[in-house]
Amino acid sequence: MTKPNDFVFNSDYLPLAEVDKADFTAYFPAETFPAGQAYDRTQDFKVPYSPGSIDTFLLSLNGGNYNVGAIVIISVNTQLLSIRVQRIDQETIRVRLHEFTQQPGGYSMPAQTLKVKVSSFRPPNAF
Amino acid sequence: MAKIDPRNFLLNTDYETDKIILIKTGDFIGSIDIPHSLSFTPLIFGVWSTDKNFISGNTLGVFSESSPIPGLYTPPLGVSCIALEKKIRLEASGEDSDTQKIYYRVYAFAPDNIGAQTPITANQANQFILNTDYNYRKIKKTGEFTQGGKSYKHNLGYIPQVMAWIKYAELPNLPNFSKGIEPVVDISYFTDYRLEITESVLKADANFPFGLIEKIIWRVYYDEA
Repeated sequence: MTKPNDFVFNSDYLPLAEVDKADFTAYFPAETFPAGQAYDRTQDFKVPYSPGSIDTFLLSLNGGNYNVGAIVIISVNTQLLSIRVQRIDQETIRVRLHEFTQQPGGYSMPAQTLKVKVSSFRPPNAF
Repeated sequence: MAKIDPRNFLLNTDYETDKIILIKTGDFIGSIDIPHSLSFTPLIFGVWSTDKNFISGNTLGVFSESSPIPGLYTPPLGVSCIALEKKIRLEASGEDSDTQKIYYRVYAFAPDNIGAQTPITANQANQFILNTDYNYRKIKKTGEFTQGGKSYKHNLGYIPQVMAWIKYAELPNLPNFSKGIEPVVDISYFTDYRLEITESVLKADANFPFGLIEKIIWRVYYDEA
């Protein structure tokens, strides 16, 4: 037992290695959706995965500042929508923009641009 | 003496690095409470997978939306995580969450103001602790925001890497959240709370729900995002 915070580096404790890094931009063009039809669009990006690593995200919506997180909640014409950034397999990260309010569609969806910075980490040899 | 740029080093002992003080692995269906014996609530993060070898994995804390509407869309599988005083709770939600086996690897750091002893995690005698094929982040500053609108000026001139957690306030009616710590996941333009990082500053929006949460705990690194 030692006190990990007493050391700059302490070989009693596994470090966290940065194993991958990537940038990409998802663009969802403006669309008009009829009432009753929920907005739901996805875009996939090839971002290779190192087994067991943890993807962390910084997201910038429509040219704004980057934010810490993986799910963006927005409001358009009283509808609530989310933009989720999530890995779906070892080659692909999916960006999904969809609404989850009770009365879908019936409005114009403005274009949305999401810039994504991905950094992936894991202990170098824990498993 | 020339100024040293920490980004030029994989590891630099002029700067503190992250130390993993807890590793928990296993599997579950639905939800699981994982006991920990630490004398403090740890800063957790980790990965989950439906594959025991983690050929593909997903970040813990990226959970499904809380109110899926039948017939409108099917939320994908997600796993939320929260560290409490004596345990770590993982909970699956979304499609197949009642039947799908989830494999997890949970890691944690000690909060910066904790001087407690912790068990050793580097106990793999036949493997390397460090592997110089990879970069190890150099911590510029750790800190906490206890009210909205607060900021930290890092002035690095580029977007640095950040890790951040929310610590909930004492919530007697919500024991599964009370004093709990979870990674920052949501970026809300609806309720107007975001943890922003620019080339010069880390900033918490003024509307962050302090009261429900006690503080935002963060680490800013010299390494570029």
